[in-house]
Amino acid sequence: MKIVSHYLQGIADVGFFPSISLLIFFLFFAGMLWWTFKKSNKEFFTEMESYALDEDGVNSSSEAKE
Amino acid sequence: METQHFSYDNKIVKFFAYATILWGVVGMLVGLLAALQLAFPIFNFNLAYTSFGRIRPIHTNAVIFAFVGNGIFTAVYYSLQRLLKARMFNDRLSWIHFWGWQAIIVSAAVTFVLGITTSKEYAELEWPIDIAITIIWVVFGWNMFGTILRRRADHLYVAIWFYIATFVTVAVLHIGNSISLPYSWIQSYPVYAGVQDALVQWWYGHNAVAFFLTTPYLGLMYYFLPKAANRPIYSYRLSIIHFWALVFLYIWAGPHHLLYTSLPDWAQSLGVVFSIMLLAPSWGGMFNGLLTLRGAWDKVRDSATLKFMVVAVTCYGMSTFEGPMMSLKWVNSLTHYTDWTIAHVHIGALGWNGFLTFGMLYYLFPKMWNTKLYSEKLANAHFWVGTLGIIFYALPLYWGAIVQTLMWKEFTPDGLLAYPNFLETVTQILPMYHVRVFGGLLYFSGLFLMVYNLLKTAALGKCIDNEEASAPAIVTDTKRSKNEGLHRWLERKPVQFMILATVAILIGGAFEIIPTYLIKSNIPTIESVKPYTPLELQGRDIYIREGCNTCHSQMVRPFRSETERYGEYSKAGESVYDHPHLWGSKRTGPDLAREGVPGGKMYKTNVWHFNHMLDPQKMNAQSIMPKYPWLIKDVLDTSSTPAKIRAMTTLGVPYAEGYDLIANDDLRKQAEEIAADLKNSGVEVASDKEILAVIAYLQRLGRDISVQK
Repeated sequence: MKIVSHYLQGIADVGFFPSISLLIFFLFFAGMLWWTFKKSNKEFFTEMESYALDEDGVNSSSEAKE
Repeated sequence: METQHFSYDNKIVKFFAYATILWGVVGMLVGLLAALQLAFPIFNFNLAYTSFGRIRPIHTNAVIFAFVGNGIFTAVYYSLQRLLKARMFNDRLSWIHFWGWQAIIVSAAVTFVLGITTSKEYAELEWPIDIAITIIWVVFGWNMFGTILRRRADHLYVAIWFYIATFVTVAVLHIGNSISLPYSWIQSYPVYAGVQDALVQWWYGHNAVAFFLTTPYLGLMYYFLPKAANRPIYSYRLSIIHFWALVFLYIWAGPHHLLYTSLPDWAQSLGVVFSIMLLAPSWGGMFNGLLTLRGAWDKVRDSATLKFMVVAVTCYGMSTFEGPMMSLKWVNSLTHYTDWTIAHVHIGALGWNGFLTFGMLYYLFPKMWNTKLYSEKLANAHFWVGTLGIIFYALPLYWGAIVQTLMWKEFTPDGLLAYPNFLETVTQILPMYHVRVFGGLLYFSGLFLMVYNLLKTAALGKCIDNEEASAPAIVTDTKRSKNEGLHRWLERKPVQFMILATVAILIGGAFEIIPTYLIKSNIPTIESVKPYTPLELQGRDIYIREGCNTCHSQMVRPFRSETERYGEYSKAGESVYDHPHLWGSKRTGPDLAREGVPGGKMYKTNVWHFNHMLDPQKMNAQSIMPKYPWLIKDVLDTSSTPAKIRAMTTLGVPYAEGYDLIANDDLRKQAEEIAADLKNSGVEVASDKEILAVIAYLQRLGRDISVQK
């Protein structure tokens, strides 16, 4: 693959690209994991899990009339 | 708190639901025709309008943008109102959105039948329609955000995050990939060429799958699955993690469509790595869906709606496992260009999108018409017929793909190709194409059961066009309170949420695409690669018009099995003047990158091409290629030549200054030469016919680098 390697040589430090991308993603992901596993969020999460079910039962009267 | 009374707009949902059903029937019927054409070429009807190259984009676009597109809007318009406890922002916007989208679909069908296409997969529409899509998409986003801003609910539920991500990403992708330079009021050339065009195209193509077929449907799943099962979703935490991971990772994976092509290696590796990582968030979504049913599996037995949803989510899991596997280079070297890809996407389309749509419709109709489903039995029958349809569709194609790829790669002990004739490998798997038609037919008949069932259901009840509702007015505190986590705050802030989601997807896009722009200056120009002659350029546009690239690739990969069959492998520098690139993604017929190399393995004479286009079956009785008799009858439109040359010059193709004015002289000269050569071979044809341009183009393929030797 002569031409392709030619490309690679054309960009300074091209090998760095995948590393940066991996790092960005890793930091982002780690931060998110930390946040979602924080104890203080548990109650809120439980509440949100049934959010779709509540929406026309509890707070509104849009339940189709029987 | 004051209680406010308002109504949900069900009428718009009803219209989108009917459109979903209508386009589902049309799209799948066209798909059935395409499958028939591949099994029995007679179904091309020897007509330009109905030949496979034009039918295939109609099928893919109808299913993706018409069937699934309207499915998305049905789901969004229904669930958004209820999740936000608010009517859609503006009824007029809703109706502009609805009729605008249907008009786009109709104009798409008309232009494709006429052969007006950009050739870029899933982005075949030409520039005026692209602009219309942009406008209607903005109308949709405006309506959605207006509703979000006027909501009576504090938080944005997970389904809405997926809708927001869908809106912004599709906008970015559509605009990014559609930038082109018009040369007439309806047609254009993309600004990108060759490697860049391929990269941008698959950045788009891959993410059209991600953000049109996946994220909105995950949103749909997060709303309708808990509703249908009457169960809370399994884990909100998991949904946060998999949402952000999915949105962030998906955008990078595009280059896995270009493995072993002349795309730079680093971009290919990036695509592979991110594709493998994608497995995690994809399966996060699948588990969240399936585990929502934990302890409620008895309900699945009784409810056709849930059955459809369970199989849909399972198919999602299968496709998203298969996708990363196919991104592994060694697997890809076997599966790429074969029917494996077709089977893979149909597990997604028929299983994930189709079944989830059906599940949603079976849930929605009784709900909106305030009645019971007409027949649960029929719905169950639909489920089983549809499932069998998927199996009978996919399995033969997987089998055929393995057989064919192994035949392509097999060598005799003497080191020669065991099957040097490409056609042999097609004939071998033809029975599989027949079974595939049967699978499609099963799936389609299931669809019919649904149409009947739903229409009957609608007749039983009455659709409540404006459904009364009430909710406490909400006073949203825009400030982040002390103990409120970042994401919790974010869920209350739609605009900030959208910006962050946009950043997440732009990082991937930027990393992937910017470097290829930088490379441009470093492209190793191959001295002998010259712009197309006017006749070849016209021939190339006919090649695009007829959709030749749907069955013929122009990209020889660096494998011995391919260089032995086709000739020298393809180089990036060869396609620098190719606006658009025509590398293709499927080899129903042989690769054509080296078709014109004199003395090469693929070389054919002018008269062979003439006879072959006229009647492929006369040359090879087993061939499944459509006939193209109109190319011989129709006169080449040369009035477009100057505009085309000017557009190409603007895009950087080095034609001499003022060449547009004399280009047609060269065109006629070259056409006469080919006509004379044909005459010597015993074929009389006037030199102004389209066939001469096509022959000129085919004879040019690969010739540039062969001169060098």
